[in-house]
Amino acid sequence: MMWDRFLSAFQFALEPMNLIYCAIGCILGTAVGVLPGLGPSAACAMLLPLTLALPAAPAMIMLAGIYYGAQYGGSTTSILVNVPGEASTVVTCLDGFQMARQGRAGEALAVAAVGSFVAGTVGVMITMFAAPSLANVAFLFGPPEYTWLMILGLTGVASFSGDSLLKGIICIGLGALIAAIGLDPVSGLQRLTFGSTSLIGGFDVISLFMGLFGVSEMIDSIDEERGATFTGKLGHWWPRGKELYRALAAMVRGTIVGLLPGILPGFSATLSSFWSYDLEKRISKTPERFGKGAIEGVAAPESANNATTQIGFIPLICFGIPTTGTWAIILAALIMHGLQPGPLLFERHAHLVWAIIGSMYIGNVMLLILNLPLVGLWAKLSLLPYKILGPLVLGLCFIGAYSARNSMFDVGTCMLFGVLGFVMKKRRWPMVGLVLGFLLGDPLEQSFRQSLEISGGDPWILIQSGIAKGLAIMVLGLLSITIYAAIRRKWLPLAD
Amino acid sequence: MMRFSIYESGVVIGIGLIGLVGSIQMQNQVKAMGITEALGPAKWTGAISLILIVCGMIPVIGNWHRRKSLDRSRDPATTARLISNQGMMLVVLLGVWLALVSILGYNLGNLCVLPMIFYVAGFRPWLKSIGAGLVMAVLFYLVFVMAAKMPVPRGGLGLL
Repeated sequence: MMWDRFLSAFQFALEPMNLIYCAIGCILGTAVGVLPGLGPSAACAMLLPLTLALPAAPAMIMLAGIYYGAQYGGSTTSILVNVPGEASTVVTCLDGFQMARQGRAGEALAVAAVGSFVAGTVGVMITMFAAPSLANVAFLFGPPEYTWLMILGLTGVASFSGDSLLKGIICIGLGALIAAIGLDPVSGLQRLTFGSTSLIGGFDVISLFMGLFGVSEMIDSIDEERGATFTGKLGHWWPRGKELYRALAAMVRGTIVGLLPGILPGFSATLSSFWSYDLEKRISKTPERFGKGAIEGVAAPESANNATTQIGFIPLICFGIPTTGTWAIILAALIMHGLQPGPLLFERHAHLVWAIIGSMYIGNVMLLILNLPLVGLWAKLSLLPYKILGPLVLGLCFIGAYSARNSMFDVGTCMLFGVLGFVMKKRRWPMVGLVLGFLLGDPLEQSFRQSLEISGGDPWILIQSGIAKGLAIMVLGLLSITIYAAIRRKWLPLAD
Repeated sequence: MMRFSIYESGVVIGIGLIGLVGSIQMQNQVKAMGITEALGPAKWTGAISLILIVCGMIPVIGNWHRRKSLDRSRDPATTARLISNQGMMLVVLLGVWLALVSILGYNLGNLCVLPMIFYVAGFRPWLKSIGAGLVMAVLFYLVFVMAAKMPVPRGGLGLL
């Protein structure tokens, strides 16, 4: 039965219009992602308004294409101009940029594309088999279990997202408080609006994301007067001989490293990309090559970050828990199209879910087919200086924020959160904590309130079922490890 | 690890206090309406606000203990400049842009502000930034208004 559903949805994803939407998404995503400073999060946030006019299935297909394209685009800037598209492509800069300086940019870009394709495809296959089973497990989850699941997600983000647990907790709290502004869904009372009519509707999620990711990045770029230059040659399109063998082996290892942690919220692609790079360096017979243009230093982290990212779709679709900021944007898109992630999504909209999974295969292939020949074009785009890019992106964010609810209040929100995001970046506050606190704050509150309503106010309901107990132990375990690590860092003498 | 500055702690505590005040006000409303939910809407925001206040106080207390050994002149948390003049001008221009678009509308607002944004972004001399700003304003008009037919702010004066 699963195969029947998958095949019929694959057929749907292969319809000409859906293929076109996927291609448009891949091209737009790559075009935006390749612009210096704009990664998948900013690309998805900025292009999200475009998908709202479409029906649910084509919109999600296009958005998935945008995501993959932007991921690939982010790798391109890491390699060509040493500017990572997002945190998970930082490691790619180490060897990718060196390869570009040596006239081997073409090899680096091709290996990044193929590595992403391999890891993404494996990730989609695992999603295909694991997601329906996990969705059935999700039926066992009630409000108490969902409460702990969301706390686990937020704890993961707080633990892994920055260099300070306290900052992570504060950002999550701030996000949850911002999400609470507006009307209480149960009582209908105004909450934290202080009499302002603009705040009754709360903050629009698109404006918030565009501000935090797009506007803040442009303020940062213009503030630092960044330039983008690439003067090297692209060279060969594909590695040869020993280099080819090294690249392929690194892709396989990177994929394996990336798959395992991808299901955990907060355990971002950044960590898996660093881990895979570290692994390659440790097992290499010539570790001195790393940092100077070793092809494994591009193949492994690119595969790892794509594998982790792809697997993050599983908790999103089964439980509605996004593992990264970009999946959080896609969660927002699902909700905006009236699709609530969770086990019922497989029941009521199975065709759509399988169509999205089918389009992920297609998107991966399309990315490879479209982007390898267009490497030269993307290289030229990445030369776009910030003095042109900045005003362009700010203008796009302006109109994008306005288009959400035809309200200047949303534009003001976008700009305000842009400034906030800029300050957070400078002061090293984890923005992903704010984003996930905003997205999960309301559902967490609802689950918690429902749990207490069911039990008549008795909090012991939260640890009654076996699943709830297990999740609570995981939360406590994760918190303990994090607090212990934080205390150790503080009390160990600094290395010379 | 970048340490908390006193200003950051102050902002966090301030936000927590605002949230707490709002929650107390709401709790009074909830009581007046006779809502008897176990965890009401006001308690949730009140709890988050308290957490923020406590989290904001922790670094204040920590810094208070370290105050004798802390050389403030070398503490990056208090001495690092957050934003350059260029960045500050851009932030101010974003506010000006909002205000002008609210009054003049999207198209005229862009014509006025985009040249200045280009100048701040690095286009020199002034003539070049004016040219670039005008080109981009026209481009936005053609793409968003004429081609995509997206609704754009008309402004208080209801002009173009």
